[in-house]
Amino acid sequence: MGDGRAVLVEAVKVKALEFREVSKTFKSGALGRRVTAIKDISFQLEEGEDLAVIGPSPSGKTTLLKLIAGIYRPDKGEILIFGKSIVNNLSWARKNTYYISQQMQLNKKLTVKEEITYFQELFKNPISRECVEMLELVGLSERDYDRRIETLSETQMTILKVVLGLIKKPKIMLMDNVLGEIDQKIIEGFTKVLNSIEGLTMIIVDKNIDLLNRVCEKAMILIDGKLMDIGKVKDILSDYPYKYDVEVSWKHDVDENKIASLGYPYQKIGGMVRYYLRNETELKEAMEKIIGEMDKIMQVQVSGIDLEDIYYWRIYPKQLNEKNK
Amino acid sequence: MPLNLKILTVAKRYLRLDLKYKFQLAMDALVIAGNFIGFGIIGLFLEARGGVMPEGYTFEKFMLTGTYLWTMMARTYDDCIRLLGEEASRGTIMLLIESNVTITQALIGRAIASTIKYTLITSAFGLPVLKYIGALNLRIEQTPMLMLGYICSWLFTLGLSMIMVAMTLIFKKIGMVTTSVMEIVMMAIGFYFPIELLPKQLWPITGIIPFTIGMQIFRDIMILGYPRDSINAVYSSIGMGIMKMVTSTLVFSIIAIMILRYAIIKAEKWGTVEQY
Repeated sequence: MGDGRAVLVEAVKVKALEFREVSKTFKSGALGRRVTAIKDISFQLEEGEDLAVIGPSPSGKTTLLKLIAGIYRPDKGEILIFGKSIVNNLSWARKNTYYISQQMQLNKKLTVKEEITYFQELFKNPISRECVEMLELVGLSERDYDRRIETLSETQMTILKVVLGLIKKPKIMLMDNVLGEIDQKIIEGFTKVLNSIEGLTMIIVDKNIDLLNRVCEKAMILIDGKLMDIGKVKDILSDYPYKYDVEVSWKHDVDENKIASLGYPYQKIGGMVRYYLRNETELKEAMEKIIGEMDKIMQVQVSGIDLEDIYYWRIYPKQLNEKNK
Repeated sequence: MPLNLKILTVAKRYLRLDLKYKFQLAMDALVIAGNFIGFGIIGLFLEARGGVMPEGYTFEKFMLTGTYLWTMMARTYDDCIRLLGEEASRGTIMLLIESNVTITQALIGRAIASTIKYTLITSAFGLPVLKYIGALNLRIEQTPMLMLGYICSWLFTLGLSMIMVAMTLIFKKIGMVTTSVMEIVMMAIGFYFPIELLPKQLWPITGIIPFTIGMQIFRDIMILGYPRDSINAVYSSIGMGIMKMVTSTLVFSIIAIMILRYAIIKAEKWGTVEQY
């Protein structure tokens, strides 16, 4: 009975987005050399799912979002939104997606009300409860709608950009490095409001991987335009052999031999050394060793494996010193 | 949303934005006033050779009626070809795309807003000047004809700006082309001198430009109060002139839209649609 229901639920899940072997190249430089931004990518996303796209810069993250938004056309392959090809239904696709980026600016001379009215008139949609809630999160109540956009703070402007998108009632929201522009104090409220919108699929690119870890249930890792990994965050994490990381900030005079002497796989990231541990027993042992070396250490931080670790493993695989494993 | 309503919404937005930049508005008004003063002086102190001006015309009336129509069209053209660059420099080009407005719709919206703006400013200076020199002889029954000439000239200008925007989308920087094209058009449509003074071999080409016929009809109605039955270099009968003007406007507009559409698709493929 239980299995039958699961099959039924599986059957009614709607494919919000489908990439079929999509490639995109750009001309670069005076000689017109072609640079691959996206290479033979295929994946699917169901309605209402939130996907974090992570990868170094450049790895094709923004290109991926702009392809979905219909701003770019793929060189090869097909992109389907709710089963419809973007290229053949460009206007429809643009209406049902909303791409928002750091670079997108509002007309600063206009008022909040004028920008909202413009979108309302274009899409014939009223301002929803979620929009009002979101504006209130950043202290913009109805009496502030007459304020010129140039008088708003960075966070308020970003929220207004999101609100304009919500007036459009998109089925897919594409956020390109937007979360970082929002005051971290309200980020939880912001994502809560977005998640309360039924059926809204979100694809988010952001430098703050820790934040993506909290917001998205699915993740995709892109490196050099190639899809390295995609799936539920917890599934991706369970595929990796390590469960904990201990970030140690060694003093400057500590040499490589000392760092390696703890006996666990590690990776150097900036001034930090991150040790990877398989289970609680290893964690306990490692902590005892670290405590023994406290006179050579400035700072220690322990956490569970998350997307950030996987991101670093994938980007800098050669730097993962696994000799100790 | 119906296409025409969307364009009107965009036009309203551009008009609203224009009104926010008051210094720019004041400068525009000053330049337009300067145009009337400059061409007024030329018309006043220069005299056309005997027999060059049509009967009932003076060179002053010729210049200033031309200035009146030309200013409205040329300023609209300028605004349109600057549209993408301005949107890009303000950083609002993505907002435009994300509001589901195509470049073509934005361009038409911009043209409508600019036409309203410049018609008001130009008329504020131009109509009193034309009245003063006796070149405001418009009769009410000639208004539809005047409007037809105006609309065809406007559509031609819009089409020309679409082609220029298409070139910008493809080549990004096109230098002085936009200005040079307008200089050539000014000569070809008979802005500086009567069209008959151009070499006869050019008459078939210049005579087919909608703006040429629009300009002749506009001047005739404003100065004489009616369009002439025939103008050697342009049309043999007014009916033929109107047919030629409407047909060439339609053909030119379709070609311009197709060129712009081609350029937009190319820019989307190259991934340069939002870069200027």
